[in-house]
Amino acid sequence: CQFAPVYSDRNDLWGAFAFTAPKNRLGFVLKQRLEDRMGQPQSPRYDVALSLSNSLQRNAITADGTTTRFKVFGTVSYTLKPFQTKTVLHNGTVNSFTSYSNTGTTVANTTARQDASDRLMSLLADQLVARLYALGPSLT
Amino acid sequence: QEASPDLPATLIADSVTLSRDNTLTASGNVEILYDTTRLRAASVRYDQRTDTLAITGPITVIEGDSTIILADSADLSPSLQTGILRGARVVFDQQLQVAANRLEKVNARYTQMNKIAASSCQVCGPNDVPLWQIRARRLVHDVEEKQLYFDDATFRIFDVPVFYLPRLRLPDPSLKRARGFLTPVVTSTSLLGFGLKLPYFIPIGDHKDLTLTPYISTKTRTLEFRYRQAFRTGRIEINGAVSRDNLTADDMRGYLFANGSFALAGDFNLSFDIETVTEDTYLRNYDYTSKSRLDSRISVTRTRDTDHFEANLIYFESLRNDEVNQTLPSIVGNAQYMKRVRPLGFGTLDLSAEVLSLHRESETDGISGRDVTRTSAAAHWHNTAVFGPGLLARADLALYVDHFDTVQDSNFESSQTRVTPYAAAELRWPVASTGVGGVRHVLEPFAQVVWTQDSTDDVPVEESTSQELDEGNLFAFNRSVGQDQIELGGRATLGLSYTRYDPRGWSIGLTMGRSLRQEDYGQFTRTSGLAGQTTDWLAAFSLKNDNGLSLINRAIFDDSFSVRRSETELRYSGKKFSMSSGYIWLARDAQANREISVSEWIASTDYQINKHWSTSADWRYDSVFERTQNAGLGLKYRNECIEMGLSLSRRFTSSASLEPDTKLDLSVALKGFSTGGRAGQYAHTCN
Amino acid sequence: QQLQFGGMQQDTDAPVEVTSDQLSINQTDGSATFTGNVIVGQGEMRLSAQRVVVIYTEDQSEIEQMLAFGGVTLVNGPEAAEADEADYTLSTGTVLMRGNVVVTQGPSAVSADRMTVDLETGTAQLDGRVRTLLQSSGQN
Repeated sequence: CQFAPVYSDRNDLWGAFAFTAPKNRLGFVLKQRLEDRMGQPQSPRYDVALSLSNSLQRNAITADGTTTRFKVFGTVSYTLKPFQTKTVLHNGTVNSFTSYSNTGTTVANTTARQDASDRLMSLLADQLVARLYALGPSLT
Repeated sequence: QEASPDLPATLIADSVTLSRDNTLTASGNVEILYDTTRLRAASVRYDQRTDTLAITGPITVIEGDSTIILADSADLSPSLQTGILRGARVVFDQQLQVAANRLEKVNARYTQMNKIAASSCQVCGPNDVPLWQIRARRLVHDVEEKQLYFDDATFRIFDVPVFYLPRLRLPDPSLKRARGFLTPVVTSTSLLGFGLKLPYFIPIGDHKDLTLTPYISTKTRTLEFRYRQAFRTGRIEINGAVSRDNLTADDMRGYLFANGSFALAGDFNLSFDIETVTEDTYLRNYDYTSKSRLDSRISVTRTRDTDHFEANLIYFESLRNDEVNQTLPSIVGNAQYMKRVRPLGFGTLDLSAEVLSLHRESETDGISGRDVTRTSAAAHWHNTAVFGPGLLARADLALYVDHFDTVQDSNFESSQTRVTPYAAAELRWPVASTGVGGVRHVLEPFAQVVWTQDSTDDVPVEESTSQELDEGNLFAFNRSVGQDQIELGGRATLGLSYTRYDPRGWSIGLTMGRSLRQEDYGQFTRTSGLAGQTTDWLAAFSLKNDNGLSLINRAIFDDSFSVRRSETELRYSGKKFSMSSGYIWLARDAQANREISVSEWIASTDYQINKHWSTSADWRYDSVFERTQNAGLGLKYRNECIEMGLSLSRRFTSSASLEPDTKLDLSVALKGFSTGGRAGQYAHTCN
Repeated sequence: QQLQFGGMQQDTDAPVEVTSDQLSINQTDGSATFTGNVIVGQGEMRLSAQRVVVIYTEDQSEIEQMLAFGGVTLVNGPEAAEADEADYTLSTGTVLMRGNVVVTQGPSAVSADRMTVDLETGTAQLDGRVRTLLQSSGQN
């Protein structure tokens, strides 16, 4: 199997996707990273609707029961449609986790949790980009 | 509401005989319809003079969409609202069945049944005994209030009388938000002894409710409460408890957690949560939360297409006995605004402004007493162009300005301003191919060069006291956790990501990367993955398929493959069996005040053995100290009329402030009354 | 107003009087066919139809049977019954009505596919998806 560039001139995907994400911080960060990686849509040919869920898991619990690390789990489910139409071309989910240390002061732990969530959105966006690259040829 | 009396009842039958003595006899699939009631019977004799229907069975009466009455014979009014049914069996909401030898419909509202046996358990054949039943001399059903009133009731399990109640009131299953007892729980913990929790639910109108749960045990008298209220644009929920026990010197202890969120005008959202407790060990003794620091917060946020605003005010309170509240930042206020614009349609400009202000009660000089306010502004322009054979080239220019106001820390000037310029270039070359059977391969090599100044003045670092590296910040300009520390100097970051999609539902992903710095500025600890002139390798692997399997691992290791950090998550969710397990390894790192390595296994499983029985287990094992942290087992039996749950959990921790604790919970819920919930899929069938 | 189901009683030996627009006699079997606003009267009972065929006994001394077609209305005192067709057999005193049978009296009505009325006993037997409105007299 030989590889062909995803962005060959024939099927220019750059700027082809209009992303709609939930109206909260994580949705904002996710959408920004997707637009960084796939281009801000001028005349989009596809709609990608995104929904988000995340949860926390306590890790590395010490003898006196203190949680020293947290995992942040995240799942993005996406629905790909031709721009402003109803026909669903593809839908699916991407999921992963990031983690942060909970051993700092109150401010340090709060910032660490925020940073872990932002990083999670960024890497989930990258996974979604890889999925869109894989769908490339079927999207003309 | 009552149907208007002059509405005629309609009778349909295969054949009708009108005879001289003013009677009408209908036979063959007889149906009588009146308002929302429908009666089916073998034959009906309607005597015009007495205006009554003499009905011979088998009779089925369907009232509205929730009550079905079966009877052998009956004498009813044409409106089917009043009269007597003999050998009746009433089925409420397809769940609760009441057998009575005589059922009298007093009027459209009240139905009275005599010598009844009520149960929601499936009975197969005449000599099969229901798991539980309530026998009573009389049962009155108030259709309007949807309540069932029993007189001289005995509760029987397998037909053995268990207890007697002169009067008993239960909500009929179709009543939503019924006032009454929820599922009682028998609980025993090594700390609080053997006890009972009996929750009582009180609906207040359509938008408010209060649940009071007395918890009486050998060691405590506790009243737990939950109050909920829904508003047109939001809701609030208040949870709390008050206890008298002899575990501590206090004669009364309690906690209050309240939270709420409201939609404000102009797409703004307000949310608040208050967490307070009267004594530090209370929440842990009663297992109300595992938090060791409480945070009360009020936040206003608004997110639109191209901008995001948030403002938070947080008050922290530590419950740990190894830290002093005054030396922790207890009051933290922060506001942040992020805006994305497209200047003249060329590239993208991200503007952001932020204020973070923290306050410590203690007045001592230095880290345990200082108050710091950071005010930051940033402009970050970037543009990406596609050129050549599908290459993606991106250029970035950014300017970060951070101003620090420090109080009570002589090591730092009271106000400092730091200006940090960035420049970066990134090259990506995504390529893809289609293999045998439609397998798609996506390969994307990437390279990035980042430059910033290689020295900066020393500022108080409050946020970036931990360090993380993953695919989410591999390409960030400043890979510190917070904005107070800047990653110095020029560096190159190289890497590769590969994804394989198999149309049969499998996908495999691998991402690897590392950075090479001009010079090692010693900003990062040994196991952070960011240390050294040549950083460690970051590798992330994922394997997923469509029927529920997901394996994710992220590791940081050096060239000799000694692993600094590895976190793995294996999950499987099938129809009958689901499992989620994880392993975490953090190498020892004195700089990150981790004296001993961390190696911890977690596993939790759920298994549906058959239609009724299901088990669950969870387990946490520390393989450095070779000790189980905590473990739990659960067993649940569910059928159409009962739900029983047994759970055993043990916390093995042993330390000054925390004794090992074993907890046993047993809960029994009778299904068929509106508080018991529906049980359709668990109903057992007669074979 | 009560539905006197039993009001159908009738003296089947009373003289029968038939009036119509036209009359034609069939020489071969001696039957007479009245057409156009046919009204058959016997005592209190009135039967009206578009066409009535009267069949006499062998010795032509009395009417054996009357067959009414084209929308039949049978009125007997307070009670009325309508149907598409009706056969009145005087010797047995039975009236068989077929097709959209409706028995009405004041607000109460019974509808069926067929009805057999025994004029001696005054009972009426309705068959074929009978529908009845039980007009309860006020109290329920």
